[in-house]
Amino acid sequence: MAMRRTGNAVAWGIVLLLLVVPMVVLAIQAVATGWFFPQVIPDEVGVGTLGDVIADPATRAALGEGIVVSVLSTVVSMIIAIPAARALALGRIRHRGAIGLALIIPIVIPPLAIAMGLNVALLRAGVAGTTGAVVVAHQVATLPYAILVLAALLTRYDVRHEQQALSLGAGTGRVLTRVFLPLAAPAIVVAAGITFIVSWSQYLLTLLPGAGEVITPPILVLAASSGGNPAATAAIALVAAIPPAVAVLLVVRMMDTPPRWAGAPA
Amino acid sequence: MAAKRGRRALMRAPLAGRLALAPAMVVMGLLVAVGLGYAVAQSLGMLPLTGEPAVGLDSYRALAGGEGGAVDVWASAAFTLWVSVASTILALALALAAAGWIDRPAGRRRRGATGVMHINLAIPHVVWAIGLLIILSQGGLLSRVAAAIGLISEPSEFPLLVRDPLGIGIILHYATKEAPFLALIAYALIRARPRELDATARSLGATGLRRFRMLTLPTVLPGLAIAGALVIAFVFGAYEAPVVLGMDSPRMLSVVGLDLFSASDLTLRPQAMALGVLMAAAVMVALLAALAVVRRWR
Repeated sequence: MAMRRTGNAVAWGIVLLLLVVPMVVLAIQAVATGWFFPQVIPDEVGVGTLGDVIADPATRAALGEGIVVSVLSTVVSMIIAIPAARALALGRIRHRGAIGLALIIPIVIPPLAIAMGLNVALLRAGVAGTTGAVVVAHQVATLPYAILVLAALLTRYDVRHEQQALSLGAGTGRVLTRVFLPLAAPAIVVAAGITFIVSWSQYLLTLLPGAGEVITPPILVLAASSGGNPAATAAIALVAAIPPAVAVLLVVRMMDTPPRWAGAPA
Repeated sequence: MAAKRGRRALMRAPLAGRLALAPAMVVMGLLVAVGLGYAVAQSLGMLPLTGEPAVGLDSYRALAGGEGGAVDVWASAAFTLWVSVASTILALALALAAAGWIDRPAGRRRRGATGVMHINLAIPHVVWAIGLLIILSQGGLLSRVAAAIGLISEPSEFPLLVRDPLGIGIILHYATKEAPFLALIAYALIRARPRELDATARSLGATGLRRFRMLTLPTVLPGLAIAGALVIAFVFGAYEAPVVLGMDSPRMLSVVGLDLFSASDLTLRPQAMALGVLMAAAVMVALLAALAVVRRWR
């Protein structure tokens, strides 16, 4: 029994070390005023640098741009993904496997390959460097994830709810708005949260279609990392991690609530 | 009329036919076709930024020979392959260990651990890479701990773990960042298997390790193999962590590609496109082959 407990402590230690420590260290670095070899613990801490970074108009602009890009990318992806995932999960589609694979495989195409070509195309169309161009380019990454997550969650959806409504005389539109959307709402929220996170982290698919003019937090962080001010870099990195962390908390919460479609209709 | 519609509806869900798939297929198809299409066109010398188009494979030859760009693309390719495979194997090992450990009947541990893993998924790669840099660099937190317990006295005595020729920093980045993703998949696969199997094996006297080898591994391996293939492909095309944690030579392929693309010498542009096209082709071919193998194996 004692050995099992030690084993558990070691396992927890490894999990925490691998998953949590880098973020904790990042947070310490962000508030450390001068933290150098051989100090294990910083001599002095203060929120000065963090405050400066948060007050910096460049940080605020990047956060705003990042939120606009990721929210718009998520909305566009969900509008396209909901019918597609519905068909993949509930419809009788010939070549379903092949179509699903074709829609999801762009996840693995190196983003550089597509981002360079899109940069050229968007420049020629005269729209490179706009928020819209970045939102369009992000679909390469966000749409497959949106479809993948939604289709996986919708396989547990019970179509008989809709059939009951149809047999009671409801039209297709009413079935979709009154039965499908309310029942699928938790799945849609989970998929939207994950899509937001995917969009938020995009680097090359932001940099090249954005032609260096659309600056989101990841672009700001990478630029800062070559600057040589570790505290400021850590502070910007920390701020950049907050919106996706909020999104994932929402996702985890939603996944913990049991789906309302569980079981057959009464 | 209404009755007829109702009867048909009993057979299939409304608005779940091919038409519902059309927007996704059109958007995805267009983006990939336009993105890769322009890359192919520029790599072949069409649509040049300056001068007359001269269609041919010159850019591919120049890329392979390291002309102009002065890049050893072969060394970069080997380095990229090494980093992708090593980090994926490490991530898979971590994921299996973690999934096996969470899969015990202690509800609180399960919720806590899967929660932490989900949060890890949300952290952007750039952010994670900077956290690792602060810990692993010479003079970083780990080296200070080593100094505090008397193992070293100078930062330079600490082993080179980031910006190193073997890509250890990049490998550690993707091993730790992708392990939670793989562990969540492994855990979902474990949970989907009938619980009685475990109880039966236990009552027949199988030890924990044996149950892991005979029950858990066969349940998770096919699904995990596909997820592992996705991770290899993802790391193969990665950019941010190699920039933060990698050195100038050897560089990963995406870093080489973006450098060629954004070089002031515009004649290098077709080589960047050629590299992008070759990377995309390599990933697609490898992935389809892997899928075929896994399908037969199942």
